Amino acid sequence: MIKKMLFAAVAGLTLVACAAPATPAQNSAGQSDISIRDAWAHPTMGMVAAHEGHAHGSHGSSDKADAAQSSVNSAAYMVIENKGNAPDKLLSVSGDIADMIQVHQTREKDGMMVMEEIADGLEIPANGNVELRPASYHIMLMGVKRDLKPGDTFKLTLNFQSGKVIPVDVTVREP
Amino acid sequence: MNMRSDGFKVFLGVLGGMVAIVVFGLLLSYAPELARAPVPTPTPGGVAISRYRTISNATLTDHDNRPMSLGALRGKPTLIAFGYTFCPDVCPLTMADLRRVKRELGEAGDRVNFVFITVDPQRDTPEVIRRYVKAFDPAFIGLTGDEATLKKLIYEFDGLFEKQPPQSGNPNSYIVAHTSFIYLLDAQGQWRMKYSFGTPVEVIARDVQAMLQESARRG
Repeated sequence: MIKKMLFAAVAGLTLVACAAPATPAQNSAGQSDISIRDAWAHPTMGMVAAHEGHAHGSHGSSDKADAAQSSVNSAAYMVIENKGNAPDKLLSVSGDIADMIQVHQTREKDGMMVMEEIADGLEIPANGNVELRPASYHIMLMGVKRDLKPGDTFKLTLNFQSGKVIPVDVTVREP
Repeated sequence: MNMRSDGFKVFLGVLGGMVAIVVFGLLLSYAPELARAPVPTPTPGGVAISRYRTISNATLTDHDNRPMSLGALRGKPTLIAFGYTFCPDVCPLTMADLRRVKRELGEAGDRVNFVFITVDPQRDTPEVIRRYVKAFDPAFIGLTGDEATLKKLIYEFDGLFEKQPPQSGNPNSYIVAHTSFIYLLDAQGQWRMKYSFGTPVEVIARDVQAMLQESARRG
């Protein structure tokens, strides 16, 4: 009898223990609460003007024609904070500063630094934050359209899974 | 009596030790963060190359589209970074670090070569490289070459680079994976130090300073 009661108690406790972590997630009408701080980007150092020159073919040398294949790039960094009790995901970033904007991660692979797009979104944990910083997560700006000098600012728009659309002012500065 | 007392002390000591171990173990199991906490983050520094290696005298092309042999860099300590201008994250930071090393050295910085070598000769033409390196410092040297020569050269530094397939439809938006150290060569062209990404510039500047003094002593 006592054995049975003990068994039941243990089984009951186990059930409670297993169910407990799932309960808040199921019941909460939780929401993410996203804010951005310390947004900055690398200068492009007069590279864009040079690139424009090539694109318009204003200089004839073959060297310059070849260079038109390349694009001027930069990267933006920031801290994405989530004060809400539900996680969220940064799905995409838009802006008119560059031809293509992607969320990337730099990581070490076979002893080399390699950059990859985070195609399925960057998770921002509930009550937590994700720091986008050099040699880690960053927003890659491919084909920057105007030269970025230290002190300049430009706008990016961050699109989250929750539907939140958050504008960010990014300041250009030396790292 | 004495014997017995000693034996009892030993017994007590052993028992005490066992209790301490058990308590410590319990503490660790109840506070897993305690068990993980005491691993200190090492301060990144330079790695000395145990057997100095003389880097080959490969002929590359400089940012003014002129041939330049690496041997021409001898006579001054030389800091070398491999990278490419399309790289938006690690490469500009490495270049900015080189600029900060030069600032840290003050006037002595003029007695040092600062060299950027591309791992992307296809897109980084001499003109693109010139704009890039001069934006960081007018004295910086940028070099390119054919891919085989560049691969052989980075291999001499135990490094490598590998063009990745383009992710998007644009064939010109490819990434080049590469080892990203800063290398320090002495005035004789021997590779002496390497610095991993993020090494404090003061550490690099101090080593360069020491090398300059070493050169001065040699006369």
